Amino acid sequence: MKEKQSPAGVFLDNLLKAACESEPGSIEEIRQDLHDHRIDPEAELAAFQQLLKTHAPTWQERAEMERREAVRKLAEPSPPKDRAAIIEGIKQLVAGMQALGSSVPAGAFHRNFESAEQQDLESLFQDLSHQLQQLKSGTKRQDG
Amino acid sequence: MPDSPERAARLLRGPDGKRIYLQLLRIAAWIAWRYGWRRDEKGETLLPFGATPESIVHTVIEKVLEGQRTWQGDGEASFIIAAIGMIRSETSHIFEKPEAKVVEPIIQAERTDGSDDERDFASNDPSPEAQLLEQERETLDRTRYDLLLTEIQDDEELSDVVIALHDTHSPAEIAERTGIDIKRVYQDIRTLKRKAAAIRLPLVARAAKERQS
Repeated sequence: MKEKQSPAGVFLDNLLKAACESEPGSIEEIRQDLHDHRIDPEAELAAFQQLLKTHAPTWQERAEMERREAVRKLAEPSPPKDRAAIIEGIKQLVAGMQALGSSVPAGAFHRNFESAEQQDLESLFQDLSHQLQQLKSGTKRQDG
Repeated sequence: MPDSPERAARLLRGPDGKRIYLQLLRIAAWIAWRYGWRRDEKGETLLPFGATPESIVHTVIEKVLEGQRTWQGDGEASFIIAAIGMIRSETSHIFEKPEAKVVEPIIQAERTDGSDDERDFASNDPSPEAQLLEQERETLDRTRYDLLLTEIQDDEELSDVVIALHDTHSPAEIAERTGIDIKRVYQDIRTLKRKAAAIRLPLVARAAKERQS
């Protein structure tokens, strides 16, 4: 770690390197060492499983994620084709979100719809639809 | 040969994956400990930038699985060796960042107009403040070392391993020099590491202070 070190520093560095090069010992020993460093092995193993699911999913996990994404998209209404109908739909979604007590993003209120591109309006419609779905799901869970 | 992320995923999802992960976590805790990391009784960490050994290992594994870091070879042993190198690298980046290390000289810190004078163009030698911190760290190392020696002084085998560790970090060399079976050397090293880590920083600091007074 440093170019000039005291003998104690050299010893401690060598102890660390030797520990890394040694056989790990039993799993119980590893767990105890982690506890000694105030690390919860069970919590970390749960995080590890999530890490694998996210960055190295099995084909079953990937299929399940894709299925959930497809269901989510199906549940969301497609934006209307007519520009006026999209704007009206956005206003209704905003009203729906406000009725559920949500603060609606400022852009949805103050956007100048007349100058917005069709694509932007459709994107905003889908975003707000998704948020409203989320709010409704949350409300259902609270009602039990 | 499958690519690096695929090999890593296969290994980590295998029957030894959990043990490998916990082992890397332990090593990360050791490395961070040597840099001065501690977790206090409240569970709060004292690492720069909010990092923890857990987050360091998490970052390494994520980078390997995403192909941002690669490893050669196949099998657990080569993976662990590669991962240890990556953990050291990640930890070093955190602790060696100027923001984590530098003690800004007072005379610079108090200046608010961004002006320079001849004192800003000094040599590359560490500032007096940095030298003081380095001396304190060495004092803590020496005190921890002395406390450890006191604890194991009646254990001949551990004492022999300690002597060997002054010159080498290779367990095989230690076994050869001391005549101790390599399996026992591994166990002794882990025991020494555990004892060293168990000597908590407040005790070390108190002992260092007593010696100075």
